[in-house]
Amino acid sequence: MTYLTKTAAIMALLATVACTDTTGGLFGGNGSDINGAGIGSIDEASLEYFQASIGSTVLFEVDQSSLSADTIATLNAQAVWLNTNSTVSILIEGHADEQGTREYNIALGSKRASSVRDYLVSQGVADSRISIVSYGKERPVAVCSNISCWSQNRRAVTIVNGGMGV
Amino acid sequence: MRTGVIISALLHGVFLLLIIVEPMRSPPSRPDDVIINEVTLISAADFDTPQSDSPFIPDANIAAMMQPVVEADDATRPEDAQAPEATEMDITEAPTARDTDPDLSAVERLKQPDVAVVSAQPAAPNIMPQVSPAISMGQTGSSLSGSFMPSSQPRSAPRIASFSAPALPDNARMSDRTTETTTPDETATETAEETTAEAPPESATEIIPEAQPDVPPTAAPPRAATPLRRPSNVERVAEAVNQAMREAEEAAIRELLDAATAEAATQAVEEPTPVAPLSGGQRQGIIQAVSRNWNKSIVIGKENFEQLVIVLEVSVAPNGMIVPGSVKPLEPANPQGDFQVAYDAARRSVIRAEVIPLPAGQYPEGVRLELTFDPALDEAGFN
Amino acid sequence: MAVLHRITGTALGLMLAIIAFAAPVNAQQPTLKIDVTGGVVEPVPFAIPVFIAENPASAAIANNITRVIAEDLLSTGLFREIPKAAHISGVSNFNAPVQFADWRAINSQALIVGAVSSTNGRLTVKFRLWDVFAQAPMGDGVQFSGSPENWRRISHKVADAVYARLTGETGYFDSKIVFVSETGPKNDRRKRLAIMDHDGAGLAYLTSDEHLVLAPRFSPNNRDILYTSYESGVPRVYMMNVDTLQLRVFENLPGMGFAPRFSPDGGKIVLSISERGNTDIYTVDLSSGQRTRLTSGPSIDTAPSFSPDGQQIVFESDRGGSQQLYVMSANGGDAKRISFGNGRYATPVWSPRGDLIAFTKIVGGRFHIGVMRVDGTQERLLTASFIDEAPTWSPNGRVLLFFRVSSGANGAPQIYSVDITGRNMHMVPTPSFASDPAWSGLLK
Repeated sequence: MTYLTKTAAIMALLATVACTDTTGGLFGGNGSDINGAGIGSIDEASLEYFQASIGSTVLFEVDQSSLSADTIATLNAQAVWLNTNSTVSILIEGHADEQGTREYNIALGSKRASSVRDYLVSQGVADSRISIVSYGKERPVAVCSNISCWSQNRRAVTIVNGGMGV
Repeated sequence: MRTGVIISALLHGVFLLLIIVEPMRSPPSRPDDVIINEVTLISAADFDTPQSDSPFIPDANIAAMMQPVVEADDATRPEDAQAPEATEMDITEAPTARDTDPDLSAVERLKQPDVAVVSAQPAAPNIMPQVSPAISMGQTGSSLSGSFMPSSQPRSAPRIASFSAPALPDNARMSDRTTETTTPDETATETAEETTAEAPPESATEIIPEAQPDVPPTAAPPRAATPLRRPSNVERVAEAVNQAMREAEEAAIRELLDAATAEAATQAVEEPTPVAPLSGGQRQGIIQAVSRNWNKSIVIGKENFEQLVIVLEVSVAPNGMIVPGSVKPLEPANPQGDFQVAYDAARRSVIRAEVIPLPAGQYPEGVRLELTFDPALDEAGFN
Repeated sequence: MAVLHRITGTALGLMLAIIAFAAPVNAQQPTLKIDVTGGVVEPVPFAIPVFIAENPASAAIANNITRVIAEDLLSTGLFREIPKAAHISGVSNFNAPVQFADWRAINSQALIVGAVSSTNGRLTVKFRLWDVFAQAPMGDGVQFSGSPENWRRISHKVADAVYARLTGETGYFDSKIVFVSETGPKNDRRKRLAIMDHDGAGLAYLTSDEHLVLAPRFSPNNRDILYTSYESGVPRVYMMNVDTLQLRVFENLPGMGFAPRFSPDGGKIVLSISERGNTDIYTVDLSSGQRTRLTSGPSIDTAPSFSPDGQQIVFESDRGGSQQLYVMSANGGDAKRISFGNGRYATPVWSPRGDLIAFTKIVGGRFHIGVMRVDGTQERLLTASFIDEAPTWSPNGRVLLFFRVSSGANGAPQIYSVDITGRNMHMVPTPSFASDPAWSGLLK
């Protein structure tokens, strides 16, 4: 969907260039990292870049909120991006798989989200930019009842400009 | 003159017999053995309306049941009846079910008047090997209820001191059982000696038949009436009556003494009511008749169901029919709450059973059943 | 000689006569002592002829009332109804003598005779319970009256009275269940609060499914419900009045709030609050709003439940390394662990009778609903499946509701009921998927 929009935008802009002689050109504008797209260049400040290349999701072991090496690598990249886009606030969602009871999973999701926040803060991201929420087992991304799905559901998701967490 | 003496002697003899036999046909009285009709609170209209299912025991049935009693005097000799029971080690007779043999007791008594009642402990070693296999075989029968196998859970419910009280250590129970099962195993002599202390009045009865040594030992008290048919020779009768009168005098005194000691023994042992024994199969039949009507589903749903043990009594007519309104709670005497629910279920089982399979002719007076309902026990009597 | 003989004989006869009469004379029955073992375990058959309509206006409702009472008793699994087709005689008058033989003949152990009348806008229902085999009433006849639209509640009250006499337990039929109704696929579930009578009648929705809602619980007076909602973006605790649907928000609570329950006197709520990733148990005084922290420490402490006397709280905590059950004073402080088996323990709920705690146990990849004594002894598991979770007690502490989730991509929850003996487990039908049931107390 994003690429379609990008392509359409590029086509439109090209059309515009053909018609007029505008200053600012394709790379003008306010540099909004949500919509900015450059022909022939990747905006590392964009959300798409964040999601596609850096990764917004980190995974956890069963009943754990500790950060694996892979997770730390991802969070490091997140921290860099966040430090670059220093006005952006994020909401970290904590999730759990269906193998536990409801309240405990909300608490576990909260621990996971908080674990990610604490790490990002340790990497220089201001605490005030980060809020967290836990969905426990209420929002699975994978629906099968085995480890392949459960492992995907044990996650924390970093949402840029997300809703109001705590 | 002689004729007059003879007639007088005859009449005296008959009179004596009647006086002495009459109270002997039944065990010492239970002062509270009264049949109570359950009272239902109903309106006057209800009272006037005839109940279509009022129980009614036709006299004809009673008479019919009575007949075999008189005739079957050789059907069950004590040793015959007891021998098969001896192998059925599952019987745990309550002291009240101790075998009795009034005739033999009298006979033996006169031979060895001072033989004391022994607990048959010395015979225990003989019995033990037979008892153990029965235990391990897990024979069914009410006597093998949880009382036999040590109960894993302590029962706090008040229980009457019945033979099935689980609190007794095994060896104590063994000796009790030994005493019981000794009875069928020992000779009729020993049996007679044991029962003598409990039923002294009966001993005097048999002084009469003692004059006719060919009187066969019989188990049922009514058979004591048999000798009445026997006398054929007036002279023999006269001699017998004279001797009987002298013996009766002695016996009467001895009887009073024995009654006193037996009374004391009775209190200690627990109301031994001499009654003809039930075979294991007969006992099982009675249990079946009641338990298949005993719906304990609600009771066992309770957290404390193991404590909800109910003991009740019910009168059974000689033809086996439950006497309506005779069901009464014994333990607890006034069931409340969960015990009320358990009692209702137990009572219902007896009423629904309607007829108890009593051994034919064995209880011409009917029977008073004391039934213990323990919901924790399954059919084999185990938890 | 002969004369002397005669005198002696007569004297002897007299003496013996005296002795004989001194001796007991009754013709006694022998006593047989027998232990009755065995017995059968099966539903107790009862008959409930259609309640007599004492005026024409109540004919239709009389039949409905009869059926509701019968279904209540059947739902316990303890009773079996002898159908009307088998009845030999009917009952045409509430005070007529009972033909016990006719009910004995069809093996009905209990007979419920009732009558209904509706006069002056008032519905009156009376009943009498008969023990057919003892041919006696069980308890007195009882009469209930109320407004006609409450006919269901009146029926449940009759059924409760019958149940109490037959089982010795208080009833639980005049009660409500609040739960979460769920629709949609597993990865896009819609949830909303719903309430219904214990037998499923009168179902109503209390919220829309716009926002995620979880785990509603009744107040002691059954008029309010505590629940958790994500409508603000994070889980927060709300209180809703069942009649007015009016909401109270606990705004001043920090962090995320969830797993709330009322205290037995209705004066406080206890809940979990998760701050900075750490979840602990707090109480909030409903009148002053004062918040009191009951647990601290890095472990997860959640799912608190008051004892019926309000003095203690049972909760789950992983302070020992895994999810286990603990009991502490209602003021907080030292907590004593009460769960010791293999596996994890969660969602403890104290029975209204005070004698048992129900819980969810996870062991070997399976979920179980179980009960244990309040000191943790006599643990007993009642169910097993992929997911069985979150028990709630009937008003009389004899039955548990919980929800069961099927496994797989199409897995979905349903509410189930089970007796605390483990018997009579069955699904409670609802229009859609359902979870998080909570049972009210007996309605007043």
